[in-house]
Amino acid sequence: MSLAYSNSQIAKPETSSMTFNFPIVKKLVYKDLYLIRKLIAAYVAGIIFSLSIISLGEWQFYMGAVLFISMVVGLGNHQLSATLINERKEQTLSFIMSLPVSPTDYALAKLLSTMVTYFIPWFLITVASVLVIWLTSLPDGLIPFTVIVSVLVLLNHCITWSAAMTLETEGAVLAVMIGLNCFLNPELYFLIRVPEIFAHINTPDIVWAGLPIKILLLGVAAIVVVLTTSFYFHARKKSFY
Amino acid sequence: MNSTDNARLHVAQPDISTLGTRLYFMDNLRALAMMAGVVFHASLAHSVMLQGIWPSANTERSAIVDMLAWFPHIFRMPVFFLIAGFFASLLVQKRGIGCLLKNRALRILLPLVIFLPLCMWAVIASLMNAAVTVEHKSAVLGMVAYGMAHPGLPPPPPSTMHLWFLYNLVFFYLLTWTFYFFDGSRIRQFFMQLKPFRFVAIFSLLLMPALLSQSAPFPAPDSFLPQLWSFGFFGLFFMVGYWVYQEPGFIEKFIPHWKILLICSLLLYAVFYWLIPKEVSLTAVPLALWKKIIITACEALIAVSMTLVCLALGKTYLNLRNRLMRILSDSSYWIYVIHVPLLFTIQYQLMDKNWNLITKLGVALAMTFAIGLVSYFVLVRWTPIGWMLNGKRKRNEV
Repeated sequence: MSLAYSNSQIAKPETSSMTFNFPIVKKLVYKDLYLIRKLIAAYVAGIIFSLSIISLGEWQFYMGAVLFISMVVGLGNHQLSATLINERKEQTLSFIMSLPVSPTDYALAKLLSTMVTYFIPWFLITVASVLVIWLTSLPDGLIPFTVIVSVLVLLNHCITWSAAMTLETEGAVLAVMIGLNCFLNPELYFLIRVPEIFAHINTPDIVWAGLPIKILLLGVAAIVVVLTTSFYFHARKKSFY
Repeated sequence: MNSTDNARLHVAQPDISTLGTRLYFMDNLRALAMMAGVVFHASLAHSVMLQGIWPSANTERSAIVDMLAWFPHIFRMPVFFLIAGFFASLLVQKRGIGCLLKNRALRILLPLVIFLPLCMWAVIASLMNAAVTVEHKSAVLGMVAYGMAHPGLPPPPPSTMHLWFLYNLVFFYLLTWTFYFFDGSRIRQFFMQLKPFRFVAIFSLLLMPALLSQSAPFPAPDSFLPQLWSFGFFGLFFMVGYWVYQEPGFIEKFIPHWKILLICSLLLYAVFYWLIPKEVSLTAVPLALWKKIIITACEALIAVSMTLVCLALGKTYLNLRNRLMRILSDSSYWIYVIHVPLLFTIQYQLMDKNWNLITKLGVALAMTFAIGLVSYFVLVRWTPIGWMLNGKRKRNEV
């Protein structure tokens, strides 16, 4: 991976307005994608494995479903740990700071690399899950529940990203990850007890009306708010810390 | 990512002379495996074993058809997946992993997305039409007719039908990408350098868990949910095919032994056929454990041995560059994709005819191949469909 820059690519880190040096942002994004390619590959294999055991039987369905969610959550956390936390631990950030990169470019590069590497598999997995439920004998009533769980998992990832960008110690970020993962189970517990979801989860009816659509929209809105606020805050910073 | 950094690829360098030339025997073998699939599906209409679940099951049926049809069934798709793995490896070596994914998205994923709904529609339309028009209905047609007369019954779960191989290949290519980053060279070297009969025994043992989880003869993994056993059976053949490309001389190792492997396979098939249930139903018949283990061992050994026999014979006799084989290899993909709706439609028309089994089977096959070939030349060979399935060709190409 070449990090050589031409004069035209060199940014002016001291600029106060929010301008981006896209050639450098692109190189930083590629660098992150390159560094975590093996990690993504391993999780994709895990996701395929979890999907393949879902059809084996009743307990295998639960095992596969839990493994599947764990893989999606694990992919997000592992990827943030590899690209953001390790960057500080292994002094790579200090190296990046020596390059003509502004905090704005850095924030944008991190947003793009972590969101692209998470959002694309997340989106494919969500669409695949919906298609699998829709096309197989599984009850279609599961679809709203599955989509909402997917959005909640994405929201957790966005909050963790925000925390990893803001908090400077590995322990604090890990605490956030653990906390959010602990909250996921109660979220599922309460979600499945939403009357509109509970009443239709084992039926062929896909019911969005009422609370399910509200929870979904709230989740999407929360994702947008978390990402924009966090990005805006970091992009306006004058220094990396 | 480029393919020059072979240290990272963890693969041996294949014979460079194969990189620029077409591997005719592999192309021809793949075409024959696909054509064998058409013959297999056509013969199932006259199978005694499948009369209860095959839509075009005919009143003219014979146990001899079963005896002849189930033997190639055990190894034709393993051969196909091994060849798919072989070409995947070739593409990775020549153009890199990114190109493999792009190329396969165009050749495998896109045809699946386009043709699956069309085939599904064609099969359902012809099935519903036959349920009304055919007089000597099969059990399935009878059920469809009953379902049409009693609306409200749940429809059968959708499946990937005969295009399951494309669906499974998509996962295998994804897994090729994931395993590409990990060093499997030691396992490959151990496995591929085993002596011929040791290789047959160990590979068969590795296939047994997957086959034990299924009824015999093994069904098609045509569900939309990825099937674990398919990874443990067809996936392993794909992986071995991937390695075969990286081990020049692997196929040659089996050439002196093909007769023994063939004879053993035929003997094992006799045992297999004797032990399997003589009627296949949607719910698998439970078998005694000893019976299940023997059947599965036979199935695994036949699949491995006959795949190797096909490779050995292919390398010896099919490394041909002639017009007929080229047309066969080019058209086989298209014919295979369209053959099931076509075959069903033809066989429904033959159900009420008072012809003998051989005539009905011959007519169904001849018409399927004829329509497949004509439609290939008219609709596919020089059109975007052909570019998608086989790549762009030059006008002066043989």
